[in-house]
Amino acid sequence: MTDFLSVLVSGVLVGTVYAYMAYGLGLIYGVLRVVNLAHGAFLTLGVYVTWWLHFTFGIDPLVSLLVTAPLGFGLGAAVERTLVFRLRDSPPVTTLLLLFGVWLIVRNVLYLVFGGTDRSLLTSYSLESLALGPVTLSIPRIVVSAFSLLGFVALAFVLKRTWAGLALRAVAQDRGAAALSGIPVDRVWATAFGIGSALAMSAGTLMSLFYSVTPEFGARFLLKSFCVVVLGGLTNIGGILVAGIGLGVAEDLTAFYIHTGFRDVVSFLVLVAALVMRRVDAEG
Amino acid sequence: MQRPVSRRHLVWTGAAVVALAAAAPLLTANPYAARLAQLLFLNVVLASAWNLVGGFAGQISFGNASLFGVGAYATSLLWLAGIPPVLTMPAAALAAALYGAAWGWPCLRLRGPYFAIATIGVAEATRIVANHIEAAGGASGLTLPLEQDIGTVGLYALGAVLAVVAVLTCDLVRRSRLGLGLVALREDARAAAASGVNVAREQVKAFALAAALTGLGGAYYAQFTLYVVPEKVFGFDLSISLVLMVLVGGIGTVSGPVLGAVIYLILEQFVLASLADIHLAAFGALLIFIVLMEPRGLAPRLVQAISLIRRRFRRPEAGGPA
Repeated sequence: MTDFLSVLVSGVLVGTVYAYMAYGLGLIYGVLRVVNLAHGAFLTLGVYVTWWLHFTFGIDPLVSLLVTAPLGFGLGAAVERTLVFRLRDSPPVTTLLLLFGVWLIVRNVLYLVFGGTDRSLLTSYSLESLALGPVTLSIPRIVVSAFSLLGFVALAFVLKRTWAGLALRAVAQDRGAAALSGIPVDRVWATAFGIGSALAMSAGTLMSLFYSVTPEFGARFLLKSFCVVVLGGLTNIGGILVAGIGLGVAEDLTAFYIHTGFRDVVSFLVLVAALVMRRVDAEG
Repeated sequence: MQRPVSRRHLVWTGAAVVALAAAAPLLTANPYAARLAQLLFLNVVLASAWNLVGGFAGQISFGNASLFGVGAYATSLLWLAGIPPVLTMPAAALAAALYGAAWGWPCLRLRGPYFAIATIGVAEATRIVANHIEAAGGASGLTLPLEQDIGTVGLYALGAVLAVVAVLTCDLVRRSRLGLGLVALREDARAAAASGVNVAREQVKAFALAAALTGLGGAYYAQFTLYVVPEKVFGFDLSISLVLMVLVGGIGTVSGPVLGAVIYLILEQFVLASLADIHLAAFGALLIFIVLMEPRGLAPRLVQAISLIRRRFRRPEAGGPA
């Protein structure tokens, strides 16, 4: 029973990070109708930048959020302005392929700069844990989970309470009508892509606290992000949070009770099942 | 509608077979040339198969490695059980077709990017599970008996036959009722359904056919590499290379995958030989370039160039559509 509780709680904690990591993907899809296959690239980049800052300057991962988030915004907006923008009226699959190309290039650059070896960072609190009754919780997981929730609240505030958020939601609902009401759709697109990428990179920063990284890091988490976004509903903040937590718990239970190796199979199967059951129509 | 097998067809097939036979001594002369020929045939088979669904029906699959791997493993396991490898190929095709139909049936109801994402999920799940099946060698894979019974020339002939069959299948499907249905649903799934195309069934049919060909490719691969391992035969890189080949050559055409397979092989050999450090970036840049600049691939360009040259050499009044 104690085991079960521990696994459950740790699944919930990881799940909030999953939700945070996935949200950028949903936001970009909601506003641009583009599946950002480069999402994994931004996640990986986030981990590497954080690792590098920690390794060379000893900067705490949580402080480097101040670097990775703006950097992610800039990179994302740049990718949108230079590449994605050109395919605005093409079928969605072509943008998907384009962004896959971006991902390949980023992966290659990471191999050249950091090599293929596993990188992980160790902070003063990496190995600390907190006993809460019968359940032991690792401090990094708690911290990361708290930051993810904080990120969610900030995001909800931006989307619901600011003019930019309103513009974003307007374009997501109806691009034509938004343009007619004087919303600069081009800028909204670049902004949305920027925010989505900033979320991905900062998620990478948070994840660096308990995952090691290679240039292949992004693939697994890209698929998990898809899984969360499809399950939760593309831009539905609450839904994504619930889906992320659900996935985190399901994975931890599988890893604990069945086989650690099958952890990732859960997300892939859930992804396919969710897609098929929702029968999302791409054209619609 | 044209007859499924025309005379033009027979002529082209005959020419291809003769050309392949004529090139045989050259391409089996040394081990490197022989390997290049094997890889080329394999690429042609896999790209043509991918094109059946990816090109005609417009359903981009990032998961064909799962079918390839099933074929490769089916042949390897039966081979290790004592059956001559060539005789295992029908079983490999069948296994891949069944697996393809099994996951294609639910997934093909999705369209566009959703289908593409679902295929990644299926393929990755397959890869992970394959890594844990100890009876099939687990993550370290299977090493096949070195004393193969068909030899270099045999492998060449087998590859050539498979390649011709794959291209011919592509062409036959394109002209068939099935092909018309696929193209119709690619252009507008709702309109196709309204005009009497059984969207779900036609797609699954085409996908099972593509899966069978891909499985044959896997079986062939096992026979010339003599080593199958999940990370390779179920790997994402393999799935991606197929997408790239067809896009470069010309998506939705019969000659496109062949041209793409040739270009890809040349690029791969060149890039791996001299630019190994940046091979991912090179392929990424190529992908971006094709998508932005030549979304229809290079085959239409080639056809254009050929007809331009032909017109040059003809008198003006004899010109016109050939």
